[in-house]
Order: sequence, then structure tokens, then C-alpha cells
Amino acid sequence: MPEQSNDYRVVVFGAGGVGKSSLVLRFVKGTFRDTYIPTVEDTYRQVISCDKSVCTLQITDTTGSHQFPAMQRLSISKGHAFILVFSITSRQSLEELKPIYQQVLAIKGTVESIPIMLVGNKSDETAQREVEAKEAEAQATAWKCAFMETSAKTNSNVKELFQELLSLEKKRDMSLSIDGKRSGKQKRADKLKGKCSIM
Amino acid sequence: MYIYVYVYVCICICIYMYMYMYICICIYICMYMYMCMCAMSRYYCIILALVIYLDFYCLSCLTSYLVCVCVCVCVCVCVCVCVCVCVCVCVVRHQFEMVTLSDRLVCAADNQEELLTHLHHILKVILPGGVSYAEVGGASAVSKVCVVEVGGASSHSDAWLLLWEDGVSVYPVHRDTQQALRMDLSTLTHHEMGPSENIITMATADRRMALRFEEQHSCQSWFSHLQTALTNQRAAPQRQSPARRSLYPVMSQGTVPPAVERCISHITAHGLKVDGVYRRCGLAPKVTRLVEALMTSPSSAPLESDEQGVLDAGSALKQYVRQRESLIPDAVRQQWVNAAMISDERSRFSAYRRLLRQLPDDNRATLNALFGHFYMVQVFSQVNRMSAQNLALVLVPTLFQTLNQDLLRLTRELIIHHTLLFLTAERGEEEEVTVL
Repeated sequence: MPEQSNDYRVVVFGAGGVGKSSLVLRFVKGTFRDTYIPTVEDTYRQVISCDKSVCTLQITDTTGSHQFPAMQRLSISKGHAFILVFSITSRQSLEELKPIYQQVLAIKGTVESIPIMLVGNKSDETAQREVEAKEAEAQATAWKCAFMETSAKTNSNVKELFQELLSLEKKRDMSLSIDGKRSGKQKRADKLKGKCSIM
Repeated sequence: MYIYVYVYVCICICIYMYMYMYICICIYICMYMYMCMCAMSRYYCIILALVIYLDFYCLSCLTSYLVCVCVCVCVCVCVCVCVCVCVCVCVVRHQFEMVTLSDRLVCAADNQEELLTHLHHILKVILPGGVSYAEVGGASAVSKVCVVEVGGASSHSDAWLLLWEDGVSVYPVHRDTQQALRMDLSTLTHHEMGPSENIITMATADRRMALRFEEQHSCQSWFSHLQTALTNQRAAPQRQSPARRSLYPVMSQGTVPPAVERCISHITAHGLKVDGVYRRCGLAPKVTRLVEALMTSPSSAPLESDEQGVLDAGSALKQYVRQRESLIPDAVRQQWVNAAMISDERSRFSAYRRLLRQLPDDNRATLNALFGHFYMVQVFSQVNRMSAQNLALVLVPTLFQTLNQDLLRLTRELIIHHTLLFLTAERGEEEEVTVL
């Protein structure tokens, strides 16, 4: 299955239970469910405007449990942009992003031209906060990437996050809105089914 | 004419109902009063009492009662796995008593057979492996004790003390370091109870053993059961006990790698209530170190008991299982996938059982240990949010290195129906499938 050349692929990484799927679902479908179901890997597609034309934004929601290292490597090598999610309620979840970042760096060689967003999710849970915004900002500076706090639950900064990520891409001029006509068509594909032969 | 008959029948029904209600309320109040002593058990007992009440009242069939007894027993099992101190059977009244560190719980059933079935299930869970069917089938009192003296040498180790119709068995909690002991009742020369310290001493011609009980009630209760057993033994010394087959027919052979056992017991002890256990990852460098330690010297791997330590242990266990030779060999993988695709539940389960039987002994033993543990984890899913489905989702790749809906269902069913698929004897298979 050759990938369409004008697809823009965003991969969401992060530890288990930090809210990767919630963020993606909030952005793609505008919904939030307070359920606890681990993801294996889901891909969502959305049409965006790109260089005065349209292209498909393909968002890959990955598993947080490091189950398929080979698949993780594949996602990184195919991805154009990355969202690294941690939960502000768990310092550990920020720690766990470090090996993922290292792997992105190793596979891509450099992160200079690659849009990467460090995202502190669950910003509504202020009472359980363990990671201060300053710390995360320092980490983002060290990694030469942008930082943002979001809440999929209260829909705070979710759309802004993707907008910001697209604006970081210098090679293309992309925007979420396509002349007022936003195509809500997204295809949820169980990517695994087609590709498990890779393992 | 008909109207008179109708009224008569109605009145009769009313009177009967009233009587039943009265009896049941009495039972209910008695049980309730008794159980008030222990706050936690109270709720389970209310369920039980209510069910008895409803049963009498509606004269409905046994089903609801059975279901609720099962619920009660399940709850009991959860409680007793952590803190059970003593289980005693009183066969005459068809009930058994369960004593935990904080509570005392009485479970009753309609007949002895039903009661023993429940008891056996509880014993299967709390007693370590290696227990024979004769011991569990004839068990009358089981208690967690501290072995303070054995064969003249003083000691200090926790063990399960099992009194069955022909003897006394001691199963150490830490199986890897200590041997199980067995004494025949017929060879017992001396037994006494030191009530002040809750110590029971027993001696045969060549061995002497002293055991300390956690609390007085279990000690006295156990001792009185011992005396009853000795009396019975003298009355009918040559009695033949029922078929001495193994308690775990499917599971009789094979060993579980010590690393797997260690992780399982660590997570059972510290991690059943940790949110997202097995889903959330451990610290990568620590997990790597742990896996190395588990590979080389499992007994000294540095497992920590805080929340992070539990997550580390969970990740390490998953990684360890992945790195070893696959538990379900590649050669038979397709057969498992085919079995998982069978739509009829009964045939699917018997296919699973057949495939489990065909596995090498060690693989089967390891899978049994793992799934028995995952079953316990999902029992606590209200707290840890890891339902059987969620566990299956995060474990399928570990077990099969791939994922699809059929394997997901297979893994989920191996967790949920662990006892049926791994621990239940082959005979009467049809019946058991319908019951569950």
C-alpha cells in the first residue's frame, strides 16, 4: 500500500494513559469519553489546506506500552511531524518521552526541520499536577521543540496544538481550515490488520 | 364455584408466604446479628441472607441463590487471598467459616456437595501448587500459620496448615526455599494446644512440629477439628478416601520460570490496586536492568514495592516473556488462531483445552501461572481499571507478537475462564461449560 505523496503524517507518542487517544479524538471528532481503553494503533485522516490546495492530515495514534518496537521505528521513519504527549500529573510520563525523543533523533538524524510538539495533557487536573509548566518548557528548549499544555477533557488548546504543529512545518504552508468547508471525513483504519506482516 | 376455589388458593398462598417470610426474616436477623461483629463481612452476608429470604419468599428456583452464593464466594476469594487466616468446614450444617485478620465470615449452602465445590475453589486459590485432590477433597480446616519449630530446630516461616481426613499437611508460603511436610493422622503420637500463645504442637514417632496461629479463634477451631478428625480416624481407620487424582489435572507437570513466579508474586502482593498496572510502562533503564537481573538471578532481582516499582515489575515481566522463546510455539500458532475463530463457545473452549494439553508441560505451567495472575488483576478492575479486555489488549503483543481481534478474544477468554480452561478436570466438560 504506497502512501500518497501529499499525505502529511503526524505521529502521537507518549506513555500509556496520558491521553493520546483522547487528544486525537477530541481534535478529530470533537468528543471526549472518560473511558479507559488502551490503544494498539489507530490512524485518523482529515483533509486540510496545504500550499493553496488540499492534502490529507494523517494522525497516527500509537500504543503507549512499547509493545511493538519495530512498529514504533516504522512510525518514526514515516512520520513528518511528532506530538510527544505526557501528563502533567505524572513526572514519570515526561521521563518516558526521553527514549522516544532519542529514537526520533536517531532515525531522523536531526530534529531541526521536523515539527515536534511537547504536550502536557490533563491541564485541567491542577490538583494532581506534578510537572510545572516551567520544567516542561525547559525540556522543550533542550529538545528544540515547542511546548503547550492541553486538556482533551475541557477542550483547551487542542485545536491550537495541531494548528501550531502545522505552522512549524516550513516546507509546506498548511492550515486546518479549508475555505470554510471543512471535511469531517475521517477514516479510522485498523492499521495493524494490514501491516502486521512487518513484525 | 371457581371464585371460591380462587379465593381459597389465594389465602393459602398468602399464609404460606407469610410463614416463609417469617422464617426467613428470622434467619436473616440471626445471620445479620452474627455478622455485625465484623463490618466488612456484613455486606456479603446481607446479600446471602437476602437471597435466602427471596428464595423462600418467592419459592423461586435455585438459580438466583446459586448465582449470589457464587458472588459471595468470589468476594471471599478476593478477601482471603490477601488476608485469609483460616477456613473451617462444618459439614453438618452445610456451612463453612472463613476467618480473616479483621473479619469472620460464614458461608452456607443448600447441600454438602455444593458447599464443598465452593470450598475447593477457594482452597485451590489460596493453597500453593502441589496439593493433591485427596487433601483438598477431604479438607476440614485450613489455616495460615507460622511454623515455629520443626524437628527440634526452631524456625520462623509462614505456611498453610491443612487438615484433611487422613493427615496434616504443611505447605510453606515460600515454596522455592522450603519443602512441604505431611503427617499421617494414624502416626500422630501426641498433640496439644498452648492456648496462651496460640501454639499447637504435634508429634509423630520421628518428627515434632509447633505451629503458631494468628489468633485464638482459628487456633481453637483448628484444634477441635483435629480432635474430631482423630476420633473419626480411630473409629474407621481403614476408610478409603475418594480417587486420589491430582487436584490440577491439566497442570500436574511442568515448571514455571522463577523469574515469572517472582514478578507475579510481587505484583500480586503490591500491585493489584495500582491504576493501569501492565498498561503503564516502567522506567526504561530500570526495566532493562530488571530484565537482565531476572534472566541471570531471578531471586535477587531488585523489585520495589511502591507504585513505580510495580509498574517496573509489570513491564519487566512483559519484556521477559517476549524475550524468551514464545510460550505458544510458532508451529502451532495458526492452530490457536483457528481455534479462536470458532464461533460456538463450547467448541471453542474445548479447542483451547485440547491445544493447551498439546503444549509442552513448562509452557502450559507458565501460561497457567500468568493467566491465573491476570485473572486476579482483573478481579480488581474497579480499582486498577484493567478489565480482562484491557489486559488482553496490552498483553496480546507480548504473547503472540502480533494482534488481531481473534487473538484478543482468545487472550481475554484465557483470563476470564482461567479456572475452567486450565484447572478443571476433563471429565464432565460439557456440564461445566454450561454452568459457566
